[in-house]
Amino acid sequence: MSLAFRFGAIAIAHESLLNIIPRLPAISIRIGETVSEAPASEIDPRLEELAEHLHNNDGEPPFMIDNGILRAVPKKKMSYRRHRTKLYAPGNKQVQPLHNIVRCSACGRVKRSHFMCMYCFAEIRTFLKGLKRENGIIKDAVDPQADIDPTDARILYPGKNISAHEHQLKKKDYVPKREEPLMFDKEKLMREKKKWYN
Amino acid sequence: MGNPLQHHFVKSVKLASSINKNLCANVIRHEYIVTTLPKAKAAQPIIESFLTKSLNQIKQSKQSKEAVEVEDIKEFKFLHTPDVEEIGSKIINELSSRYPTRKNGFTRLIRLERRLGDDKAPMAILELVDSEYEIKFWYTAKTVARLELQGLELDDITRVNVDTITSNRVEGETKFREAVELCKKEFFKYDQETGEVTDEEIKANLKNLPTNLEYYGGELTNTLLASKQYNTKERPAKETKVEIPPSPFLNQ
Repeated sequence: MSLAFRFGAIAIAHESLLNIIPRLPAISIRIGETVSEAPASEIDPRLEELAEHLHNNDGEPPFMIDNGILRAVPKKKMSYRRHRTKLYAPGNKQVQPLHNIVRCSACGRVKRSHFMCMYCFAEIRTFLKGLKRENGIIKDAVDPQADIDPTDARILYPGKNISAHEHQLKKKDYVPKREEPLMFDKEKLMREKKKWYN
Repeated sequence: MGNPLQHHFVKSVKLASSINKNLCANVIRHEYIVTTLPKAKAAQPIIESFLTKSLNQIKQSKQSKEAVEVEDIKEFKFLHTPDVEEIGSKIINELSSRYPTRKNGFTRLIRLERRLGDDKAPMAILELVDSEYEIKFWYTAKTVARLELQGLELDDITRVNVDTITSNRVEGETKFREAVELCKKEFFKYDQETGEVTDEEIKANLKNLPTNLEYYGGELTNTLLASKQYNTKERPAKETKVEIPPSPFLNQ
């Protein structure tokens, strides 16, 4: 009957569940016309579902209720002290805001002062690689079989089947990429708080 | 194991010195490299002293004979033996003509954002100054190109940067102008025939102007680098060049 105890308190409010629970003789006291009826609260859709289930299964509860399987829960209530030491004791756990954000003079995006703008650096580095390639400092390896007949190539190098996992690995999603920085806007910056000892 | 160049990790001096030698060879080979900040900081003075010593030696041996060879310069023994031939010939042929009067300050260190990997290591660029592939040269060229497309004059800091880059370079100013024109074409999609930026996104980006335009050719020029705390005066220009007599302790 533990189900009745668990859902009793809520289920009584639901009209459709009333016929499951043994009816008690109704006690009604009327004091004139001043007492108005309580506003009908919204019914939880899960309760309606449960009522339907009970109606279909001859009053037996669904498997997930009261089957003896316990779910993971904390063993004990975390004490007030432990709670506060975990959250607040080492004062530098929070991520601190940056106050040295400036506008990059070459692209207008945000950057940290005294640091190179990584967006510009990436652009310039790819450009310089092309420049080095033009000047012959970087030499690309020449493919000795570049002018091979396509049918010959298909016979000589038939290739191999790549599994879905290997195909996923070839995309190199696991390599972290830097996000493109936002455009600098002075109004969006967080102002540094004034120190009390100044 | 961590960074072997940090003091509490230096168990083997050989490893630390080997890293420095490799960094030295690769900076000269590639003109600029990207490493972690502690490695770059440790290697920078060693590269400086290596370059000053070897360039001095080259200058001395050029007085006695015309063609200097790699075997004549004993300072190259600092490098790992496989690198000596390539790096030594590059110093003799290219760097000695690039730095005819420079005595120190051959390298520059630029801080980068942290690495995106698990270790989040602070990174840095180590580069040779006055080279064609100098990062700071192209960054300032890009800045100047952006300001010109926006129709603004240079501010104080950019003017100083342009001066540091072009003053000691061979044909510095003409090379810098070419670089600015190339930057306009390369980074801002500027079409020289029509005189307009073709890309719509970049056009919108160029409307993002600096906050205080008075620094860019307005009333506040020449005030950014002056001290706000003290009323300093500019140092007067040198009138005559003073010749310092050669030291008697140097063997001629």
